Amino acid sequence: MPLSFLNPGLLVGLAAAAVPVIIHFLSRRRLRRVAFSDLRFLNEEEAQQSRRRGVRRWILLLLRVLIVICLVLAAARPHWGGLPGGAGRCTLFVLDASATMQTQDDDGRSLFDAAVQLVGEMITTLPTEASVQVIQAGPEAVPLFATWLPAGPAARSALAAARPTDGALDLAGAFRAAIRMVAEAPSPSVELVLISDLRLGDQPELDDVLSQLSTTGTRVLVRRMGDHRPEGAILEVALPQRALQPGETVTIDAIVRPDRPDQIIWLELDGRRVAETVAPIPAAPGGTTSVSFTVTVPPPGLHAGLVGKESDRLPVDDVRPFALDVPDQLEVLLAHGPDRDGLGRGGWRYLASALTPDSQSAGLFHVRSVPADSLLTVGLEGVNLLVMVDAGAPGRRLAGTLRPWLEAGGALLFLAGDPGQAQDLSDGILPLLGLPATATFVARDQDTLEHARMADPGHPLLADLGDEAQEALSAARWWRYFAVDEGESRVLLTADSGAPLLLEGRLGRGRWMLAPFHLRRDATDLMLNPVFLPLVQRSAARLVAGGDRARTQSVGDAPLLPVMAARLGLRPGDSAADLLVITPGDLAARPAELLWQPSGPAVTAPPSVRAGLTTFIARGDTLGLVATTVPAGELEAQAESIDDLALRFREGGIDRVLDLGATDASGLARALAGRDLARWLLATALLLLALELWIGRRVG
Amino acid sequence: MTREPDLITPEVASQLDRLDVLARLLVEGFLTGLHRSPYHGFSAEFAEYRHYQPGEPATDIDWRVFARSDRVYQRVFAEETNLRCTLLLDCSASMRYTGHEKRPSKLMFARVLAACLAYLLLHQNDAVGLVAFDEKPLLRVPARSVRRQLFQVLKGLREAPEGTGTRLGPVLHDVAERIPRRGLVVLLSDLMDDPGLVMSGLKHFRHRGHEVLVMHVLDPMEVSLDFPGEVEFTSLEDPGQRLRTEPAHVREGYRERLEAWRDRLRRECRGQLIDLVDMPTDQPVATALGAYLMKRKRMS
Repeated sequence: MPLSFLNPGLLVGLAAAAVPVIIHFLSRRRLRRVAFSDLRFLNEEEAQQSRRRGVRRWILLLLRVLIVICLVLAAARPHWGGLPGGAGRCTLFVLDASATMQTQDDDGRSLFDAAVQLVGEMITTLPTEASVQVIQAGPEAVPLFATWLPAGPAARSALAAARPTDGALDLAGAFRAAIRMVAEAPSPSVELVLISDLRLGDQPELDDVLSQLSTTGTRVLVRRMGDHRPEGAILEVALPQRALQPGETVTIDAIVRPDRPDQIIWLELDGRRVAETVAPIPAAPGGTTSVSFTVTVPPPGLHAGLVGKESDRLPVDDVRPFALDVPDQLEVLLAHGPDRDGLGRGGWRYLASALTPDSQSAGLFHVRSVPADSLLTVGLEGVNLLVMVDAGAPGRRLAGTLRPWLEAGGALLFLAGDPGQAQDLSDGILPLLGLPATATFVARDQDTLEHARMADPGHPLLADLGDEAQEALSAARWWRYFAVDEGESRVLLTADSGAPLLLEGRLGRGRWMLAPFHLRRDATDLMLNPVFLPLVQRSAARLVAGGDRARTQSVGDAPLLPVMAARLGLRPGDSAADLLVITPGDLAARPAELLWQPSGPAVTAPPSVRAGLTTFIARGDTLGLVATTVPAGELEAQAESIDDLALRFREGGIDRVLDLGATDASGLARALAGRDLARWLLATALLLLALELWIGRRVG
Repeated sequence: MTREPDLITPEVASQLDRLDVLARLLVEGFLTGLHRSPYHGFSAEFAEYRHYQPGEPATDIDWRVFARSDRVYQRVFAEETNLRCTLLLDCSASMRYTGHEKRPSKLMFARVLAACLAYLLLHQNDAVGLVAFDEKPLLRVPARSVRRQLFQVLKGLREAPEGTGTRLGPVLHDVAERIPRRGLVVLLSDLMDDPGLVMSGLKHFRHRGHEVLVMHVLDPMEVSLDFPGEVEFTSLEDPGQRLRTEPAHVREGYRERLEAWRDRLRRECRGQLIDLVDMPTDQPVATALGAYLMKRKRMS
């Protein structure tokens, strides 16, 4: 019930309401008897007034009772809203520190700064006996105070530690922290004040947390900050999903929401603007559009880039960083069966030649070929791409190494066309790749041979080849192959029968391609097709993608970068004291953490709350770059209405939700303390008293 | 706080056996306070003429002598007089009312007032008589101016019984018929009767050539009805008549009705050239004596 009393003990005084009644009846009983000279005039007046006076007398009695009730209630300090318990209240502020809270007003002050100031003013208006705690809620919920503090100067000065983040608001996480704080609160009754712009996004875990929060009896007050207007933003940067070669021309795409027509979007690499373009007008006002930059791939190495636009009220989304890893040379390990007929088993030499066409100059790929049975001995460390050609089914140990390596970002190109390996394919490889374990060998004669068909012409691999190349590729012929079920994978090429000839899939962070045929001339003439070399090159480049040294992730996620143990001279179990990390917003390097995973070592650091580049350093060398970006969901989230939020809270079991609107600190204090009804009751008592006197005077 | 020297208190009024002393004290105290003696020129009996001296009031010039003789003479009246004054004392039950224990009842107040008037009148050698009545005459003292008359009047005042109801009209008619010579009639009453009947009786006196002075004796509580709480009123004149009410609730209307009644009496008395003097029992007797003297002066 929203009505509470600061001095509930005084409510016993309500018994005093009986006093006027008692006096009324006692006075009626205390009858005076007077012998009077003449009753003429009295009789006449009494006859006229008796009925009216009777009504007025009861009205007077009622007024007197009400006056006493009003006075007693006023003394008990009633409050409408707020918490019972008065000065013992605990107020828990959940301060939205998400990226959109950095939206600035016309004076350049951010919503977050305004929110912090509001919390400070609010703490000032609270009684000093009250306790306060502030949870800074971004991707992580961080209590600003080590413990609940009295509402006073110490709490206000501790607010200075509040900092906005470039991440999304994890409201469920914030409420989990709130539940912990409520458990530690000095008073059982806590009011939670959510100060946010309410651009909440999906919040899938919120409902469960709300039901937990509802059990604490906490009342939720919501203070909405700012008026949401769509702001321009760089929402996404799409780098070519393949390994890049220095000097080649590539296209980098970006999805943007321009502020205005003809807005210029630019791209910087290593601090230099290398391209710019005019953003097309979106189909709908406030919508998004795509822009493309044509860029010459810089020399091998790690490159920091960003796509930016003119700054608006929310600067954090006006640039979006990315990291570009231009490999010097990619290590390809080619595992094959024993050579036969000078062509190598499965035609692996065609592949090796296609990957290193010019043996005189250093190409993108450096190929090492090993017999498949020595794969375990060689190991996969430092290998960017593993190519297996008729290598048979990996044994248990190899499978135990291969799968984690692939999941951690490895790349695998698997060719199998030896009819004797049908069992190996269905029992070993297909389950490893997550495909249905069915492989049927198909053999055609000269009359029934099949050609390749483009199953997915829009796939980047095929789209990059161009129409002419695709037409040439369709001339390739197949006599023998395994018919497999594509399952959840993506099919690029099929035979005339519809059986997949080239499949692509992902396993964890790794990519794989499966060609259910080998490169023997009795199986296909693909290796004789002019498209073969670029197809192999692009397939390998796509599988390797950008290499391991450049990553992109959202603010709030812990950066993770696989490293080569051999390069750092690490052995399992070692901890690296000389691994450093520089996170966005930090000027100094801090020690990074070395994680030993099944796939190999990786460096990590605490999640960054700022967008930018996280740089891992080892012995003076840059190990890798992690582009930390504002989550696109945070930028695309629409502001929820208070009504919708209140409805969601109610469905979660919290029915005490109060909309503070755009109230100021004192209004917030009033809402926390409740509306003080004492003065209204006193005013009512005075009004009733005046009415009583007026009626009383008219009565007699 | 000093008490008015001529204020009648119950203690004073209760000394009815010493009314002569009381009247003398009150009257002479009153007379001492006047700037000009009332003893001269108030008599109704002519004594002689004397020459008018410039500066003297012209009211006593005998204009008929002046018309006959062209001489200005002034009439001189003898202090001895044969003015006959009849004091009518209302002894009805309503006159027994007093609103406060420190105030005399209306009847006591009227008795003392009558005693004072008798003393004053006899002091001027006027004749004084007394009629006490309620629904009918209870006691009569014929008007005389002999020295012993004061004793008779005071005795009558002491012995006048307390009556019951009030029927002022018939009583006044009766008394008016019984006063043989015209003179001054002083009625001391609360007039608690039908105003029409009261005025009818008073008109009878006027009809018979009497000058009439009405001392309207009321207790202040009768005027204000300032009773707290709830009260059960019992009529003094009719003990079976009771009324239970809260005076606070009827006070305003009561006062309006009472005032209307008094206004009617005043208006109708004025129409009959009857002087009506309100005499609340908390007022000093000087008010009544002063009113009498003014009346006496006009009569002269």
